[in-house]
Amino acid sequence: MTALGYREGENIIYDFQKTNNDLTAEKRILQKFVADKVDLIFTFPTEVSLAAKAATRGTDIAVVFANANIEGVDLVDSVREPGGNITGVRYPGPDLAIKRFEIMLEFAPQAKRIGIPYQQGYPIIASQLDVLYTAVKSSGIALVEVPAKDAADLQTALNARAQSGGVGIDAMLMIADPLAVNPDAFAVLGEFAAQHKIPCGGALMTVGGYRTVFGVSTDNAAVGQQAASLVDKILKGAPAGSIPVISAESVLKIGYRAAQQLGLPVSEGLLSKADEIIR
Amino acid sequence: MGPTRKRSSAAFPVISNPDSIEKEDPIQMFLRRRMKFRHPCLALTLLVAACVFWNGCVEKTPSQKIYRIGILCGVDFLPIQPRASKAK
Repeated sequence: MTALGYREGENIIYDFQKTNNDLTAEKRILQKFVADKVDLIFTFPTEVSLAAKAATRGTDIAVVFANANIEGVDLVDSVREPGGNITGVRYPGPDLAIKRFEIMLEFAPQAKRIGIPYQQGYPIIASQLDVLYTAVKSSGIALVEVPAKDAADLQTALNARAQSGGVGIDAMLMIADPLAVNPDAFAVLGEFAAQHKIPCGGALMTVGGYRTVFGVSTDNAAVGQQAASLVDKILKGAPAGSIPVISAESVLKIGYRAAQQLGLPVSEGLLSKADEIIR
Repeated sequence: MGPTRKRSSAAFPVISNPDSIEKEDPIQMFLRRRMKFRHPCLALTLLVAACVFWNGCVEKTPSQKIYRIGILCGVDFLPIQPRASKAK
């Protein structure tokens, strides 16, 4: 925004609030934004963007979202014409799920049972699972869903697997989901993966000495720039609902050291695809 | 602007006696010449128009309006803390 001529405190004021998937807090904050008659609400990721869309209905407050999935949720009418008073930068969840799956198979080509932990009932999961089930069809690979409500629930679910004799998972794939990237939940996941020597990847994470072997995601700085351009257009008078949704580019980061610790092959071809290699 | 300089415009008098000019106060000379400008009304009109135009531009400049943006992050993995900026 600064590059576009907006100077904080001079011609623009930000009221930045953060919640930890607390729906009650999200609703309260959004109601305050509406009562304050802010010029625009910027939200991320998906669920809070949906809440912002609902909270601003009937007002002239525009909503710009970032890192939000639009597949399988009622966020926009279409990419070209988002409709209402909303637009934003799309998180390409299903596309990234496929990319993550393909990269995981390069790290663990022998994997036949791919574990997928996710937050139960989260709205963006279904669209990602759909494309993954399509991808594994007739490949001999099974997807093992591990839904959980929170970190403690994930711990219980993984303990139950460990105590049942066989873990039944050859690799753990993280999809776009708030649970797996939550530090507490990832600590549980990382410990489980390390104990059973299972590669864990999808989102690049390091918590308590546990690391994922790779991450495919979007570049937050680039997404911020894309979102800023949309905000600028709206503040200059363009109706948000007529500005096409932008799709964020993906970046691949490889946790080279984590992969080596697990004895996983990291081919030159795989390294050449990486935007960043963490040694 | 010395007395020997020739001027073709009728707005300025033809100087017949350069000695008389040298004795005149330069400010007085300047004012006297300005008074003989042919279109003072036009100049005034242009000045007023310029002022009106400038005011209009300034009012429409984004820097004069303070936009208020509400930002809501629904996850806690970003290493940034909530805060509110204040107008300077």
